[in-house]
Amino acid sequence: MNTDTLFQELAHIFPQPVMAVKGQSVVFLSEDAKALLGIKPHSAGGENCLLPYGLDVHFENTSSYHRFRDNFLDKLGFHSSTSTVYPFRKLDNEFFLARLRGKRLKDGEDADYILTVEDITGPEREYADIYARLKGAADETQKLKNSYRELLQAVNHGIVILKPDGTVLEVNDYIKRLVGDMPEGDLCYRLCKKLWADTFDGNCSFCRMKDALREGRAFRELVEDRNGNHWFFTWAPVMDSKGHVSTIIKTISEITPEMRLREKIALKDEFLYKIMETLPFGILIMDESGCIEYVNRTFARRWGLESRQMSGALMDELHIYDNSGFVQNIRDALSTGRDLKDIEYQYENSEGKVKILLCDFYALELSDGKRRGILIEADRTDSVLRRRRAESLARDLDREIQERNRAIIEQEKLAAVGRLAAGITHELNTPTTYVRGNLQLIGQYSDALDKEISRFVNASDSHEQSASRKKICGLTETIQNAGRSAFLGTERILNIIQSMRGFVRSDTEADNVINIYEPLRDSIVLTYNRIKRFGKVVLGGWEFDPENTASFIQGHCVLVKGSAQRLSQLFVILLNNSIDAWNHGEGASSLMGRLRVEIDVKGRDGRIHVIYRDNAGGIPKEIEERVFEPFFTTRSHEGGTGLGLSIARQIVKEHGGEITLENYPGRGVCWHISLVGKKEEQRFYAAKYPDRR
Amino acid sequence: MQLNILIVDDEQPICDLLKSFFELGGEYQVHVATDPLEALEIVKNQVIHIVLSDIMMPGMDGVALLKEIKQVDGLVQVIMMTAYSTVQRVIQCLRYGATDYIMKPFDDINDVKVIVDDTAKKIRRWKDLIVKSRELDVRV
Repeated sequence: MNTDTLFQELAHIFPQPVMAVKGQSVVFLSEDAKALLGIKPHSAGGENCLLPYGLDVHFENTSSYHRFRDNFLDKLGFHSSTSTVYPFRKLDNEFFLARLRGKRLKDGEDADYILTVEDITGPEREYADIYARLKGAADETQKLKNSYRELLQAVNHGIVILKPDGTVLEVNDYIKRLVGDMPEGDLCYRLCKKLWADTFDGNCSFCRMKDALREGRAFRELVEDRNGNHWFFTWAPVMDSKGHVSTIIKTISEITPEMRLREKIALKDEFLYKIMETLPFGILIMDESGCIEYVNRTFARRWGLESRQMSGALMDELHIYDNSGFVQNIRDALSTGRDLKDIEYQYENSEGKVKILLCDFYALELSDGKRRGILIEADRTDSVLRRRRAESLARDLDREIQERNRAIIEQEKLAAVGRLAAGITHELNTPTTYVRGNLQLIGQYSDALDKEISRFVNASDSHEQSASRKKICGLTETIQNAGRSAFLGTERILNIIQSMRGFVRSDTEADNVINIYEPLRDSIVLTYNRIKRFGKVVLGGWEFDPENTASFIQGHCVLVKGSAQRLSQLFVILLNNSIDAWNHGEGASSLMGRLRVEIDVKGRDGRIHVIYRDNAGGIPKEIEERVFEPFFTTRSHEGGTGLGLSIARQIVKEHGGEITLENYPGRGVCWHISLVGKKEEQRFYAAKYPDRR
Repeated sequence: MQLNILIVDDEQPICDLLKSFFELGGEYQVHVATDPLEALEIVKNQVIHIVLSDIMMPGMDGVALLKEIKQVDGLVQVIMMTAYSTVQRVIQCLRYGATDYIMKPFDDINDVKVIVDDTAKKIRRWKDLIVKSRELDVRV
C-alpha cells in the first residue's frame, strides 16, 4: 500500500487534522492540518512536508521539542492514545494552543507516530489564559535562571556545581580565584592538592565529602589546612532538573557576623577555660543548690583530687574547718545573690597539713536565668602565718611599749617626787627649825622663869617684888607664845606629811569618790615652797595659806570620781609648769611682778570643771600644739623630761575627763579640766563625813 | 652696849623665835623684817650692826639683799641662813661680804647665838680699836 494512500486513509478515519511523524520530521500532514498550521493546501508531500514545517519550527525551541518528545511522544503506546496541550506556532508566527492526541506505530512503518492536532484556542478563553500563564511561567523561569547565574558569581562563597558523576559542571569566580583555572577533572583531587596536602590518601575530608555527595547527603566539616587556616565546608547537594548537583563550599573568612560571634564566643570560652586551668588560684563554680559544677586544676590539686572527681559533689562534702560558718555563709550569699570578699578558711589537705585560704565569692546571674556561685581562692597560708606572727610580735611590742611607758611614767613620778622632795625638805625645815628652836627657847625661858620666881619669893620689898612679877609675866607670855608657835610648827609638819601621803598613796583606782579640793590642797602644799618665792595661789577665791587648809577643806566639798593620788600628781604637774614658766620667763627678772595661779571648781552638766589660770607668760604659739606630746620639752638642758603634760592628759583620760588648753602667749594659760562628778553620792558623802560640811 | 640685830625671814615664826631668843640676854636690840625690801629700808634708816638673813625669800633673793646691804653700809655684818647649802652658794655669799653662814634647821639654837655673839665680840673689839686709835690720834 502506498504510503500516501495510507495517510490519506488515516486522514479519513480521523475527523481532526492529522500528521505523521518519523524521527524528528513530520512526514505527513492532512489538508485540514495544513490549514491549521498555515500551510498551503495540496502542497503536502515530498520534501515540502518535512522539516520546513516540522515540529522544530513550531516549538519555541529545541528544549521545548525535547520536553514534548520526553513527556508525550515517548509515553504513547501502540494501542493507547494520550492527549496533551502544547503551544504551537503557525508559519505566520501566530500562536495557537493545540491539543494533541497520538498513537505509536509499529517499527518498520513509514511513520513512528500518528498525531491528531486540535486547535483549542479561539473562543475558549480559559485555554488562552492557561497558555498566557504558561508563557509567563516560562519567562519567569528564564529570569530566575539568569539571576541564579548572577547570584552564583556574586556570592561570597565558593560554589561548585557538579555533575552526578562528580565531574565539574560549573564553578563561580570565588573558586576560580581559589584554585585557578578549572579544567575538567577530579575537583576533589585538585582542591586537595591546592589546599591540603600533596598526597591524596583517599581518606581526607574531601573524599568523605565526595562520598556524601554521591549518597546525596549534606556535609559540614571544619578543617585546618597546612597553612593553619580554618575552612568551614558546607556541601549541600542540590539536584536540578537536569540531574546536576550543585554544592557550596564556604570558607571561615566568609562566615556571617552571627557565626563569627559564635565562633568568637566558642574561642573565648576555650580561652577562658584554658586560663582558668592554668591560674594559680583555685576556682570553683557551683550551681544554685551548692553542687560543684566545675573546679579548676589548682583547686582540685589542693584537695589532692582530679577535677572530675570533685564536680557533682556538694560544697558541704568538702572537709572545711567550718568554725566560722564558712559553708553556711557561702550558701546564704548564693541564695541572696550577695558577693563576699576576703573570707578566710582553713582546711586539711590530703597530706594532713592545715592550709589557710583567702577567698572571694561572687554570685552571678547568667543568661540562662540561673545563678552560679564562683569561689576564687588563693593559698595564703604563708602570708597569714607571717601576718599572725607579725601581729603577735606587734602585740608583744605594744605590751613592751606600754610597760616601758608605765616605767617612764613611774620614773617621771619619781622625778616629780625628787623635785618635790627638795621643796618639801625646805618646807619641813622651816617648821622644824622653829619647833626645835622654840622648845629650846622654852627651856631657857623656863630657867630664867625659875630664877625670877626665886627672886620674887626672896624679894625684900614690894618694889622689887612688883618688878619681879612683871618680869615673870613677860617670861610666861614668851613661853606661852613659844609653845603655841612650836605647836603650829608641828601642825604644819603634819600637814605636809599628810599631803605627801596623798601623793605617794597607791590607791590609783579612778572610781573612788573624793573631794576635789583635797588633791588640790595637797598639790599646792607640796609645791608651796616653790610657789611662795614667786607669788601665790588663789584656790576657789581664797588666798592659799598652808596654815589654815583644814578649815578651808571643811567649808568646801565637791565630789568627783577619781584617785586622790593621781589628781594630786596632775595638779602638781600644772603648778610646777607654772612655776618653771615664771622662773624661766620674763617674770623672773622682775622683782616686783608676782606669779598668780587661780584655781576654780565649777559643776556643770553633771561634770566637774577645774579651771586653772596662771599669768606665767603662756606657751609660744609655735609649740602650742605639741605640749601634750610625750618627750616634748623646752627645758631638756635643765632635766625636763617632757612627760609632764602627757602624763597630765593621761591622768585626765583615766578619769574619763578631758583637758584643754587656752593659751595666751606672753600672758598666761588657762587649763580646762573636766572630770566625772558624783552628784548622787554627795548626800552619802555628807552623811558619812558630817564634819566636812 | 646693846647691838642692833635685824632678822630677815619670810617665815614669821622664825622671826619671832629668834627675836625672843636674842632678847632674853638683853644684849641685843632686835628688829624683824619678813620682806627683804622692808629689811633694806630698816638698814638704810637705822643703825644696824648685824643682819641675820634667810636666802630663799619671795620677791628678792637673800644674796641680792646681801649685796644691797653691803652697798648701803659695808660695815654691817651679815650672817646668812639657809637650808640649801652648796659650796658654791657659801663661797658666793662669802665673796659678797657675808660674815658667816648658818644651816637651817638649827641643830641647837645656841649655835646661832655663838655665831652672833662672836660677831658681836668682833664688832665690839673693832669699836674699842676705833675708840683707842682715836684716843691715840688725840694724844699724838
